[in-house]
Amino acid sequence: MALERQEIESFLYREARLMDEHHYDEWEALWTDDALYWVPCGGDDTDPQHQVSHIYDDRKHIGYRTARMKSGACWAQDPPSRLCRLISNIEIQEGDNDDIVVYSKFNLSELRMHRQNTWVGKTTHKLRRENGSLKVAYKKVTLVNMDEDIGSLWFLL
Amino acid sequence: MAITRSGIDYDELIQEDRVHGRLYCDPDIFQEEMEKIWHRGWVYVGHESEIKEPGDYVLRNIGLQSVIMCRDQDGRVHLLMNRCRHRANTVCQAEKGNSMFFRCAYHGWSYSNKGDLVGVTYEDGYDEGFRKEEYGLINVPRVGIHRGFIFGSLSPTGEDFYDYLGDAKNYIDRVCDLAPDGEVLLTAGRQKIHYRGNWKYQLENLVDGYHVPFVHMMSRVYESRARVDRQVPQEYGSTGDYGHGHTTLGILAQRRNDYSAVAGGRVDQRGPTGAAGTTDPRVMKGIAKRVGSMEEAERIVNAGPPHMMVFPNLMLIWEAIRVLQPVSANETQIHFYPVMLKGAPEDINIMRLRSHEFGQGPGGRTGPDDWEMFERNQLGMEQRVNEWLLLRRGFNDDKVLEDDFGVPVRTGRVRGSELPQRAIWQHYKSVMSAL
Repeated sequence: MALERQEIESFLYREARLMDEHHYDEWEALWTDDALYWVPCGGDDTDPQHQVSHIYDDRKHIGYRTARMKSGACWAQDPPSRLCRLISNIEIQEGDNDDIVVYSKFNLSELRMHRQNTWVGKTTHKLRRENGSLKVAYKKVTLVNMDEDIGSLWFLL
Repeated sequence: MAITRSGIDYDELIQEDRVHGRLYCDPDIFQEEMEKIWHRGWVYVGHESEIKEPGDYVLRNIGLQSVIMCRDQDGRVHLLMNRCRHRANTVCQAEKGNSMFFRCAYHGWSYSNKGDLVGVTYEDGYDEGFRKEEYGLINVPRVGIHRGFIFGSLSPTGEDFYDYLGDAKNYIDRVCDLAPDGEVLLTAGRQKIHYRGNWKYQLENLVDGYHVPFVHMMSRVYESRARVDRQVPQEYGSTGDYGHGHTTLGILAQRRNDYSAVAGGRVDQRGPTGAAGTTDPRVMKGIAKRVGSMEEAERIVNAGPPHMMVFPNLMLIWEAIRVLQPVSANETQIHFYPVMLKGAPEDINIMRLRSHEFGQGPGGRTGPDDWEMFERNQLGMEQRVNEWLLLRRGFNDDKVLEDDFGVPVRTGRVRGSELPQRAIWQHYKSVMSAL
């Protein structure tokens, strides 16, 4: 378990770095084929089939998202945000079908257009081992200000 | 003569083919807009489906003022000013909920959801001149409801609701008629975003066909080639001016679908109005059952969802509505509500949610790039070198045609004609020039 914890922490830190540094291809490669990337705009009891979310991407749309980010025509990220996030409060649980459920918190500073924004929230990852390496099968990012007026979400959370 | 009490000459600032940058920056003009457009006129507040049950309420704004939109125990809709009659504290803090009463936490005055003052703490401390019935929450003086869309005006007198709504009524009808049961549900919640810019950028941009191939060029990458390659022909019908500041992209079904194709429906969608899910045979059958024939259902579905700016704050666009919420001269919120079709199969409404999320909201592929343009617009506007904005595209190139509903409407010819922007500004001038 100690080794697994170290591996999972390293995985989350690496993912955070890929997001901070806009390495879209490497970030996209972390996902499983049946992945779901979800940023709700309601609380924990939100039903995404009946309530609108900020982001609810299947694997195909994760690809559309990164393609747009790389296109040079995503004006909301022209120039891209400068990002720096801390990942903490990591808890690890066993999930269904050998998935590993990981709870964590983040504190992200975003600098854009001479202004610094703070994004804070909690993340639930479901990680799965495929061919020996960890992949993301599910990621839910719940922002503290999910139901307030927010700015664009065209950087990676 | 258009010089108002504020001393601002709107005739000078708003000319036929250009407007002055001060209109987007000046806090005094913003205050005058609040008074004359947002408080005196009609504004969209919310939808009946958001307060379905007795006791349901949501917190909204009219202009900058907080308003409780609620349904009383008799089922009637009220718009109540969120301000205690004792010391003006807000009596409702939650964005939504269900309650028979609103109780001020400061000194405990309690109001029914009709607005009546029903409880005063230590009432015997008041003299005989105090009469509870005179101290209810203030009801917004005028409320207008069309097919569940609730509008309010803070002025007790003024233009009749349906005179204000004018031909925009047909487009609200279209939104509802696309549902098998003829009703829409705004029950899926909302996203809220802000941008650092004036509210009128969004007012004009919703009906700006000129920016679409540039700002939203990446949307087109997702489209099937057949749709991307289809060129929008230059012919009358591209834009519409319905008076009262109500404007539209496309007044005829085919024109609207062409625009939808360029602006981008849902990724992987097929069919001219695929973004709305209304071409699904089950939905069409449901509509046909309601309207009596498949021919009529096809006519409704082919005309598709509208693309309309209902002045000053309601946007009917694709599978959603948006609501404009000004904050200050250089700060604005937009609220996005995906529109659910009553009577449609569940998977269709889920598809509409997904379509909306990847389309318009903060993680969507169109909205954020628009707000980026609005922020750059505001930064440019603050410069005082050349203060005029040009609205000359398609100038003197419009005529009156009948729209899908048989209503005569002034319409432009060239792609991205700025007819709607000119129409909005002329209406704005008439409202702002009033004493």
